[in-house]
Amino acid sequence: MSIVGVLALGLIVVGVVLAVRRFTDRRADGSDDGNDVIAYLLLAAAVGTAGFSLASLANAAFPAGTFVLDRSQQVSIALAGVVVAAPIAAIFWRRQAERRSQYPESAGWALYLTVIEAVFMTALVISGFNFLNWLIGDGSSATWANVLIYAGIVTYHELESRRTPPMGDSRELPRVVGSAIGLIATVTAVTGLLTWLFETAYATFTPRVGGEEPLTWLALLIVALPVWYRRWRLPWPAEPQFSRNAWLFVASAAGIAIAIGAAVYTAGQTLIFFATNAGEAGRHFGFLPAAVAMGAVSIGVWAHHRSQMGTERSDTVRAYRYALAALGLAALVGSATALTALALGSGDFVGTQTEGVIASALTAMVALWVWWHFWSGSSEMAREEDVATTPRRMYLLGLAVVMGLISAGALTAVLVVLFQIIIEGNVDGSDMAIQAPLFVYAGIATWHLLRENAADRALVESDESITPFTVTIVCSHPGTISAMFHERAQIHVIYRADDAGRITPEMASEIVAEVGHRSSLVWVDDDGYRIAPAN
Amino acid sequence: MNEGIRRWALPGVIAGLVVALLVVALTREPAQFDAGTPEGVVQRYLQAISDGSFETAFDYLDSELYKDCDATDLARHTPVEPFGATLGTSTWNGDNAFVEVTIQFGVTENPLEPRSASYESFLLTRSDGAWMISGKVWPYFAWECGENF
Repeated sequence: MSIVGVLALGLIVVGVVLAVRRFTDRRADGSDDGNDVIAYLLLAAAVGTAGFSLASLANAAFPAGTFVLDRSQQVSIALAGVVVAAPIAAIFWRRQAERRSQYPESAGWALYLTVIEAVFMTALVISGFNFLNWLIGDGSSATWANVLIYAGIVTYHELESRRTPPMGDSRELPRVVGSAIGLIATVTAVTGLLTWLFETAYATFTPRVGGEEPLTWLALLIVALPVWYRRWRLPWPAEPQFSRNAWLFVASAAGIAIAIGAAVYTAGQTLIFFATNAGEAGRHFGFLPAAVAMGAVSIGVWAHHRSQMGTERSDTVRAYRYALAALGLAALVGSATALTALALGSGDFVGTQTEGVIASALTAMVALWVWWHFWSGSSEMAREEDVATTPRRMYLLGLAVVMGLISAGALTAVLVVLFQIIIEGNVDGSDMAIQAPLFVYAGIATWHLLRENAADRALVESDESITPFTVTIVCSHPGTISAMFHERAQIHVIYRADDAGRITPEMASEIVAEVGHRSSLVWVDDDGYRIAPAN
Repeated sequence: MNEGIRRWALPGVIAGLVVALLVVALTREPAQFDAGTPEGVVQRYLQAISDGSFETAFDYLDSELYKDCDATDLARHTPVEPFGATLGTSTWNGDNAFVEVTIQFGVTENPLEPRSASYESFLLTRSDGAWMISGKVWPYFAWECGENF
């Protein structure tokens, strides 16, 4: 590189550094909340560039199984990246370290750690897997050099996050992201290993399939399992926050959905085998090892995460239930549309479309069951409890918007064809076999969701119109009457000295109905009860 | 630990690491196979292409087979993108040999965006004790070389 080039590079670096310092030295005018999201994102970009450039340089220095090299460009690009990004990263790092001591609850710090975890933990898992796969498996050659660089970056940030732990609402996010990376890779590896195991077993009685090389999956498991264990299984410092609960819900919902999908596929293929001329059984059921492995692993993922959600009807449990209800309803609309389209398109249910009919009908039945199971448990029994919660509102309103848009789009497509037929006379209307039922089913789903939402709103409004009232009950044994009044009621019980005035459950229902939402005095004795208005 | 030392420890380590990696990267040469082996011939052929020495690279091709072509045909079909290569397995059978090579294009080393790779198999034949690259091989310009192909 010529002297002029070096000078130009130096000037650029100095210019960038000065500009960054000038920008970062400006303090806000009293409204500084210390979150520093932009500064932390710039830091993440600089650390990312410097980290990957360093890894590239390490690869150029210690290439794996290299036969032919063209390193001049690789080294130049890597060096330029390090020279520009590393000083910027250092300046931002020091600045933010000082700011963290001032604002320990900085949201930017948690965000920064999350970005670094997402990028470099993924890079570490991939490069670690590539290297190990080459070492023990049959992968193409891979270098150890970048594994060390990525491991160093991840470890350094882990130590720093222990020294100044992220605080605030998103403090669990970095660990949750690491858990997600570890879990996805672990699940992939275990599924691969189980598939190999089942395929080996399957190959003993059918020549159709043979076991895949398991060492690749083993390499992935060796890399991924410690990541998941370290990020997820080690004790957490506090009760679950939003991020961990969100991940519990996502992992549980995804686990059960994939398991159901694998079961439906297996059942569908079995029905197709018996209903059609599907050919040799060994070939037809060749999917079984993968499907069983996927289903088993998904059940495991679901069981582990669902058990951590608990049984109490928390927002996490609600989100899980409503998400599965939404999934069931969407799958029901899709499969019912497909089934109707097949019926309208073919004229009979036997023939080349049999597979489609079986798959659609089975999916529709299972989707109906899933939707009903999760919705019925979330509807009447829990309406009063859930009415104002975000998961229920997201389910009813969010899904209504989506279904409404789908229905409107399908109606538009139907009308386009209808108008073409009217105007041009001879137009192929075969698309209507899909669009027309889609319009109807998505429309019905929208109507149902909006109706439920209207019922929710009525409940909220009726609750809001009730003014607080007081009920004074004079009796000897009140039973459970206190719990039967509206939540806005304030109940006072005055116990009689004698044993007269016992409130039975039937009497309690009558009293509650008669009192309504008015302040009242209730007198109970051997003759029954009397109610007088109270002010 | 002294605050000054602590403050400069990490930048110092990184700077030292960069210098060390740079020195190794610029001085380290890949293992050279013997020019009298099939691997050595393929290695020199690819290295010559990578270096832009197309005349040298063309000399490793079977002169009889490629007689209707020249180095400019090879140059014209070589991708502009820089590339490196790693050796796979090689098998010999008398005067024939197969050498498998993975050619990686591009210069980035980011596992989130891996370099594109091409898996190539080179057929070599031995004539008068010397190995020559035969058949249609990367970067695939044989179709321009007349009826031999």
